[in-house]
Amino acid sequence: MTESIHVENLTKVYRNFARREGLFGAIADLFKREYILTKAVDSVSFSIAEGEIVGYIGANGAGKSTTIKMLTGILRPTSGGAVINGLVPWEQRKKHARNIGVIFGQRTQLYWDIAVIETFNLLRRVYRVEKSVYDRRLEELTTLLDLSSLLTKPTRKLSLGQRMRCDFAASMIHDPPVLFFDEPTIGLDVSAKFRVRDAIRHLASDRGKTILLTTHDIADVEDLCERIIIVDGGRIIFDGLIRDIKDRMGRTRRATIDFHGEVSTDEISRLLDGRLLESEQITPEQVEIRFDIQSIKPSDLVRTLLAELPVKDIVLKGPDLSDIVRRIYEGKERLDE
Amino acid sequence: MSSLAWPLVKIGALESIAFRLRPIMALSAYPVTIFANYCLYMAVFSHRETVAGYTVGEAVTYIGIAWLMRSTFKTNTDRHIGYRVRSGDIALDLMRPIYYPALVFWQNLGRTLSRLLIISVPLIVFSKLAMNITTPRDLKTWAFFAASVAIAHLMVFSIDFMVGVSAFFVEFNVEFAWTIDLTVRLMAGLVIPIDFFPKAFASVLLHSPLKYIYFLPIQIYLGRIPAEEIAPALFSGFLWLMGMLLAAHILFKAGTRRLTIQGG
Ligand SMILES: Nc1ncnc2c1ncn2[C@@H]1O[C@H](COP(=O)(O)OP(=O)(O)OP(=O)(O)O)[C@@H](O)[C@H]1O
Ligand SMILES: [Mg+2]
Repeated sequence: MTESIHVENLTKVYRNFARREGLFGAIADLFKREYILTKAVDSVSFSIAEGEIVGYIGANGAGKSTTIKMLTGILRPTSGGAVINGLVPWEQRKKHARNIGVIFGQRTQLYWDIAVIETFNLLRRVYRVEKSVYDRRLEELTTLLDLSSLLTKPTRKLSLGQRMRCDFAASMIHDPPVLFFDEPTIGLDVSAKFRVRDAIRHLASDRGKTILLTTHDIADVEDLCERIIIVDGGRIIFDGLIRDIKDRMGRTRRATIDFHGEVSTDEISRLLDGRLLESEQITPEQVEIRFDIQSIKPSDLVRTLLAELPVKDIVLKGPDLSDIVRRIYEGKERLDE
Repeated sequence: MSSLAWPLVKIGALESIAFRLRPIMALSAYPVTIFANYCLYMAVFSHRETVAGYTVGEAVTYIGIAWLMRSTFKTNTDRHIGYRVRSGDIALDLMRPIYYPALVFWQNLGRTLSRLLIISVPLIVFSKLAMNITTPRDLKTWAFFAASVAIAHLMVFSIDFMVGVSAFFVEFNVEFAWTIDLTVRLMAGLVIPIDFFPKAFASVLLHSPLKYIYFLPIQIYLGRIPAEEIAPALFSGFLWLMGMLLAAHILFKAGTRRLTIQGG
């Protein structure tokens, strides 16, 4: 497999001023400025093979967008390097631009006040796509993303989901081999999400695109990627297969129990003499617990509960990626053990 | 690049006419300004034949042409760029395989052309009818005037571009843009002809490159500059312009090196 993206020790430090409080602070700031340094991306290294699709996830402020901005060439790193399809993005910005397609979910690359098709036509000229090739591609994208009724509308009249589909097409006009999607499903409803995922899947599997994707919807990565990179505080804390992370964390289960009447978590803990990892009172009549299957077998747990308490319903849940990821973000789970 | 010029000009023009109200608003502001200036000159000239060597006809024509030029040139490129930097949307322009100043230039030209049609043509009719501005008779004067206007347009663009790009360095460039705009208006001869100023001040202004924006083109238009001096003046204007474009390029390069894209 050939390598498409190679990143080594990529680091970005933002320098912001510390604004002092109040009027006197503001005046003092005019004369003497103090800076705060934020290490948004901290020695990040990874590589991505051609045709691979990787989910890049992390809590708010983890440094995902900053990394993507550097990889698209619009932001210079403080230190470290990256080579994408043989080019250093921020050194050969214009050449690199032809190899990549980008979506920033929170912005649009479409001209706001004019018909979507005008932006597409301009992009055709910008990337020097031949007319016949362009026509064929546009037709393909129109079917894939169901754009036919949207093309003649100005961007400002599109709903978020419609706009995202158009942005998607815009990033594909020049058929680039590498794609960076920063939150492509942000704010979309369930069916729009499915449609965007379908399009991404199509690009990866049928067209062999290399895709780096960030999202806060773990279902996106579960659906699309085999491999994920998890970042926290600018650093990579996990880089590997989703399957592996599930295996590793897979010893824990979660159970939601409904009772006839009030039951407290203390009562349950006493009953299971401290073999739970965690318990939480959801309502007076509902409790959620987490346990390790090595300290208590699910069948024993259920049996004990049914025997001793007025149980109405028990729902057992297996290892769930979004649950694992949330626990990693919250610092309750460590990956390096 | 040239193959991209037209598509970009078209986008710029389409954008600026997307809302019908926008050009109409602008259209209504300029005649008011021009008319106020007209009244001012009529008052100033009421007891005198000439002021600083201008007849009343020349002075009124001067101000009419100056505001006509401004109405087409001043496309607020500085504010557009500043806005895109502050919102972080500049990222989307920089990820294109295009030299950014060229992208801005062609789109700006599109706006200028649409303004020319929507604002300037009615304004010309207005100035002609209401103020009876004069027009040169010979073709050569028109040709020189056209050349000087081209230089002026590019100068205004370079200045606006630099002011816009200053947002890469200082996050709030609106006040800066405002200050520069007022300075240019004064020093380039938009508010009043440069030779209306006291001698000492005027001679300083006549050495500044800003005079090529309004003052010189209108001097050519009015035939107030000897024929043999026109070509050398245009040449030195051209050199100044090259300097400005270079400065704009350098500022842009320096800006992209330290740019941090705002927002997520
Ligand atoms: N232009 C900037 N100037 C200063 N600091 C910044 C700037 N942009 C981002 N940061 C800081 O860098 C860190 C990483 O931000 P970044 O936008 O990369 O996070 P993210 O992982 O994309 O988060 P989110 O999921 O919320 O989009 C944050 O702490 C943020 O405050
Ligand atoms: Mg982000």
